[in-house]
Amino acid sequence: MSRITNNVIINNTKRNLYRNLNTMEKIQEQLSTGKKISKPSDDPVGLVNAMRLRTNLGEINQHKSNIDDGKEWLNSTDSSLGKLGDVLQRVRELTVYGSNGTLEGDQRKAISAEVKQLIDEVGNIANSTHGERYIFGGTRTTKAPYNKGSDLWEGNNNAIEFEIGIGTKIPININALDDVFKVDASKQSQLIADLKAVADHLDNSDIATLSSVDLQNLDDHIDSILEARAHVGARINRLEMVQDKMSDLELNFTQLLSKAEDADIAQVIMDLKTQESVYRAALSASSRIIQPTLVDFLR
Amino acid sequence: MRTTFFGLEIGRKALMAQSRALDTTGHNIANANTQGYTRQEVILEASKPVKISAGYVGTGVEIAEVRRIRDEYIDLQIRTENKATGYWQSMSDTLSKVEVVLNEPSDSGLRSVMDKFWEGWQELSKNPESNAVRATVYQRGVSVAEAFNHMDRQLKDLQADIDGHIEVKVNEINSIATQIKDLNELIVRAEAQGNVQANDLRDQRDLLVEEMSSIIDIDMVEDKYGSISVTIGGRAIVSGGNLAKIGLKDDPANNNLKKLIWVDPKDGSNLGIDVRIGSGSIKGLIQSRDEIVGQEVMTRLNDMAKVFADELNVIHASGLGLNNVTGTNFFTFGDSTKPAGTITVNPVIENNLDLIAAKPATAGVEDNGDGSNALTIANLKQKELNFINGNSTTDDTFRSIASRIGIRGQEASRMVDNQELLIDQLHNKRDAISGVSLDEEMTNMIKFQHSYNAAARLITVMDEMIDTIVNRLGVVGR
Repeated sequence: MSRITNNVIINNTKRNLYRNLNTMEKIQEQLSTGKKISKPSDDPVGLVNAMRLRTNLGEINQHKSNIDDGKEWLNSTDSSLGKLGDVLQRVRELTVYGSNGTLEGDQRKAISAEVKQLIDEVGNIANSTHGERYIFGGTRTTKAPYNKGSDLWEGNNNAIEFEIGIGTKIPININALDDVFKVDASKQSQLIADLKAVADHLDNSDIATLSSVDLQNLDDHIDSILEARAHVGARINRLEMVQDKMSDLELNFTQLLSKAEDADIAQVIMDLKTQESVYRAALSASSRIIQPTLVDFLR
Repeated sequence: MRTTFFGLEIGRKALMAQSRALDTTGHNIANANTQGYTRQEVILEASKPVKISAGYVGTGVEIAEVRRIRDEYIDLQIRTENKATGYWQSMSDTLSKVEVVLNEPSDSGLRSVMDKFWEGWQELSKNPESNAVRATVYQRGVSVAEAFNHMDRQLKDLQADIDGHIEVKVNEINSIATQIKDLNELIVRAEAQGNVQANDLRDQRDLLVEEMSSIIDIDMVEDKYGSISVTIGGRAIVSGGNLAKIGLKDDPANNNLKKLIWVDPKDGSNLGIDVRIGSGSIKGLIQSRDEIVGQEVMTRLNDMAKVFADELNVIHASGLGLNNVTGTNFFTFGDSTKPAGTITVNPVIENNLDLIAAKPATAGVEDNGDGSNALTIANLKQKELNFINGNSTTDDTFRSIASRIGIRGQEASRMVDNQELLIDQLHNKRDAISGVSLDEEMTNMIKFQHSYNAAARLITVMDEMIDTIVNRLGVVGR
């Protein structure tokens, strides 16, 4: 029979109580922080997941912000192209009206004056900005692409690309110089040249050209603009689809992150309750095991 | 022929022996809670008998020995486990401090600062013309540099802190060695007077040896005169009445961190011999300082800062600033051998944000809307770079630093739990043998008290017998 001394009993009791308190402390930490991982050694594997998911969530947010910015840029482009289309439509109406043989030369001159105003407006639209950045100048965004004074086009046809997913880029500007304004190697815009021709023909009452060549040119330009708008619209659609996907991903990743590092509160409270009763039992056992010694019974 | 006073003598001896035994019981009770105390027991034996014609007659009782009840094998086991416990405790301590430095998982650690930095470049790729976004990229670069600097400084402080602990432990070893030497001398003197054990002095000496065994691993041998030699890594620190001394020296081969050397006990001069340390809390401190803080974290953090910054600089220098200046490094190092500690954002950028190279070299002078170089830099986040622990992304490298510390921390705290349980069990085992049981002592007390009372009664009986002979005999006819 082994000899049980008072210190053995006291040491064991102390150790068991400490152990219970330790477990309680851990559970309480989980409960008060709401996290099951508060330092790397709590769960090294879970830690890596939690860190990666946080980084992934950051990336998703960045891409969502890139998509929002891209959409804004494309919307600005769309509304500028819309205005340009309206202008050309008005010029077309005036051209049809001006090619009417019953008009007097003076009346055509008056129409020509309006067309010239509209040509000026086309120049303004070419220098549209988004924020303080010119949207039709390619990557040359800090200077106006169309120099009204010299009638020269100084923008370029480079794409500006935003990243909308890891490794996925999308151009958010259009090739306005080639596709809309038809700028040639001598930096002259075919669109403006054609509009100027309309004004000239109105001044000269060249009805035959107005009703044939000019009208055809205008229709071609209007078609180009519609085509450019269709491209812009398609890109906005694509961005919206990616954005929906990003929102789904964000939700998934947030749930995964929560699973990786958040404490399951119901579980933790159950654990705490269990631990509490274990601790109470240990305390009550201790009160019995630290018995009075023989001293208490000797007279 | 029995002498008249023979019976009285037996009674006297019994009284003496029982009261000595009672004294020892009292001593045990008094020391029930004394650390390192071993219960003592008075070993009684029948004294030498006298021969009469019919055989031998007992002459009473005498004290043969006052014995310490102790199992030296358990002491040896405790010393062995003590050094492992000390080692793992030091490891676990350091690891939990490193965890605090890493500050993960959180939204303020290096991971989050790096994430923000990459996001800054993404923003710049969208708004390369914007001065405000450039300022953001600059500031986030500063945050990254400062996060590296800060962690590096904290880890260096931690190493200095550990060196401080090592110094305290070395002083403890030297002080314990001196005390053991003094006790050696006392014990030899006390035990020289005959076949006796200096129980209480030995208890004190055993306690000191045990304390030392948790600091550093030691071997202990006792010689025939009762003095012990304690050796550390094959060299004696105490041998009988001789004392050696351990000192500390900066180790130039190890960033001038401290190492343990043998010094002359008189003048403290270096003997030129390193102390071989096998285990114990000092070993844990040194190893965690060099391996955990040094190799696992500082070395890899330095490598991470260097590789990441160099790679980013190559891309940055290839691009054009808003002012079309090329060849600017984004990060610079004050001392390229200490990248994490001295990384800063190139100071020329602070004064001229236009130098941040968002444009690729192929872009025209006025193509300020081209942020594709900034995007290439932002994409560096996903690129696998050549770090010392293999190819991985920068994020991955930091995650692996954190998780390796986590795994080692988990192991260390599990080992501490195991060791403490083991030590507790061994202490219980020893207490079962050497500890004082109050019930037992009280029982003994009653036993010895009754024996004492009985011996006193014996003397009364003898007294009455002598009284009869001396005072009542030969009075016929008086």
